[in-house]
Amino acid sequence: MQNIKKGLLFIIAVFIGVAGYSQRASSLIINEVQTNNVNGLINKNGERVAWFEVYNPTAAPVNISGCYLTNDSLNLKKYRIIKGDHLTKIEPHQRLLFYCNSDTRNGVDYTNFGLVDSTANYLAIVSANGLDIIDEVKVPALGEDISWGCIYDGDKASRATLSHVTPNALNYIGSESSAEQKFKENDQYGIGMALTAMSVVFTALLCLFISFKIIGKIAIRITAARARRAAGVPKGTKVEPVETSGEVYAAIALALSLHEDNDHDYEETVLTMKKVEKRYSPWSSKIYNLRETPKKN
Amino acid sequence: MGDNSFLHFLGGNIMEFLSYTGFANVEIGNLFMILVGFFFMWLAVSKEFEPMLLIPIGFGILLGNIPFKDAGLEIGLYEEGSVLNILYDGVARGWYPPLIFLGIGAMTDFSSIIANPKLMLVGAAAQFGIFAAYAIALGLGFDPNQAASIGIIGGADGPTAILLSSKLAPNLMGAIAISAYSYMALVPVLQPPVMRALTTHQERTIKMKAPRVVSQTEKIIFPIVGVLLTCFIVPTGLPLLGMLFLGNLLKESGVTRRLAETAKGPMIDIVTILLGTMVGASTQAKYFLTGDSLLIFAIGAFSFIIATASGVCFVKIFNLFLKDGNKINPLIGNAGVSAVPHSARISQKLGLEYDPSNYLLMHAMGPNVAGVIGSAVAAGVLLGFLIK
Repeated sequence: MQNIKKGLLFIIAVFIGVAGYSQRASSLIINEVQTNNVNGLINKNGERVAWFEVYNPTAAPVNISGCYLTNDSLNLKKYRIIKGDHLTKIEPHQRLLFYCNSDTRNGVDYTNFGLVDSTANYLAIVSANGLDIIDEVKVPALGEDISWGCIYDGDKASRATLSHVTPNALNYIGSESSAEQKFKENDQYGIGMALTAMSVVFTALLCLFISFKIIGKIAIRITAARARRAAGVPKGTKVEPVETSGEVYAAIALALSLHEDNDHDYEETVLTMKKVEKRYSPWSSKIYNLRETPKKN
Repeated sequence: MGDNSFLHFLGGNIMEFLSYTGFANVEIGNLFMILVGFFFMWLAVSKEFEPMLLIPIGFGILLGNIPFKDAGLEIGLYEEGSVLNILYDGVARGWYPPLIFLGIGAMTDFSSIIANPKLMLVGAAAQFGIFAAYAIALGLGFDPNQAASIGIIGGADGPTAILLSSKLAPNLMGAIAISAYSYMALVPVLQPPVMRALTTHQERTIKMKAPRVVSQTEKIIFPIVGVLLTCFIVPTGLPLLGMLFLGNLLKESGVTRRLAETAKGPMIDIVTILLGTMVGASTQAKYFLTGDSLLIFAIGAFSFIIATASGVCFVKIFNLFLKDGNKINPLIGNAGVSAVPHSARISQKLGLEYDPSNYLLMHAMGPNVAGVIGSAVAAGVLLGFLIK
């Protein structure tokens, strides 16, 4: 019983852990940052200012309104993204650009803070409660017209200086999807894929195996308890299960099969001989409905 | 003058009509594919090889290879808005396979793995064929997405192969689907030599303990726990696994008999007709008759053999850790590939060949249905890794 309890606790812990992880993994990501924009992107006011891109890696739209943006780790509520602007809705696998010019009068996508081009910058997206950091980055000092971010969109592990500046566009430009390219570069023989994928397949079926081992044991105990009660045997006494022979099972299966196929020894209906009458009617006769072919004399 | 212009008009019309006919547009590839269609239908009718699938696929090949003038007539499979294109949407977007899985779930009895859960691991081991084929396909120059789609043939599950290839390598889907279904039909030819080669006479005659009786409650719990566990681990397997377990719950709950009957009867029949026909129609000569298709067929056969060998070898290794009396007959290892119930029947047939009193079918159904879950999980993993 102790083992069963431990097993159940383990499964619950795995569930909670996985559920918590999946919620975090589905949040927004700072995908690309440019702090020293000299000859690059021009905003709607005709200015070249620092900017950063927020990416929605999920398959569902995400509304960023109510969340906070900050460049100060001690002040997480620096810029609140106001509600009621259609811009704040980020479509699946799409991005939203924020201009950092310390002037919010231009719209919701203009932050009230700027970024310093000569030193490293801190940037964070903070959830609507102002406490939980959704994503944060420490952007190194960047040269003129260079951007930094995820080489493969949404992949935090691939953050580095980017070879191309791609505001509001895919960071990785290639014929293959970014995930495919990663496998192509890092797993040429498919060994990594085989190991990881087989581990996942085994884990999934191993979890099922453990669960049903436990459930099976519980079911056997319940059945035994019922058998004890039915036999009127006191608790603690072992009741040996009655062995049923294969022939009995075969007979039951045959009977069920015959029942399902509606085959039986005595028929429910009565077979009789009855004369079939064909009543002739000129109304249904072709000869009276079709013109006869004229005959040659 | 007037007569001349009328004749000219008439002649022009006839010539234009002729230019639209299949005879004017036919290419040698179309004729070859039509012959392939005939061959599939012959296999189905004369040899009874997977007739439910090969008849729609074979006829679909005819539909897809009737040539016509590319003049925006909205009749072709790949022409947006055409009837065939609308029906093909279920293949291209992958919503036919989950519906097939709903029906499979409603047909499948999971009692054998509930009674003997360790057989689930055999179903997992047999999925190695998928990843061996993936590695081979990579080595032959296919991209990872294409290699994954080809590898899934080793899962021996047509709907899964179609779903994965429609997402990762749509241009190879026709060849992959036909390869998967062909090899499923050829399981009686491919598997026994591998099983014989990898087992000893003593192993083949191992008698397994009769499975215990499984209660109705356990059968109801299985799809619920199954979907939660597998989909929490691999959410990308949700369309297939979700539908599979839903179908099974409809069957086992005992209160939704009508729904279960529909899922495993008329619904799966309708979807099978549409899926088979559209997969067949997608094999148009210009897309299908390529060197890649031949490679796909070769890798597909290899993946089936590796999957069978993995299942059998895993049982042999597993037996080293099991007590006498609890040992598993390695002849059920082949059933880990999810060609339900063909591969389980092979286990039964071979088992009886070596010991006429050794009935392995019920035991083999365990890894067989675990293979269905395993291949859907493997497809989910490949999708999760590659579709970004």
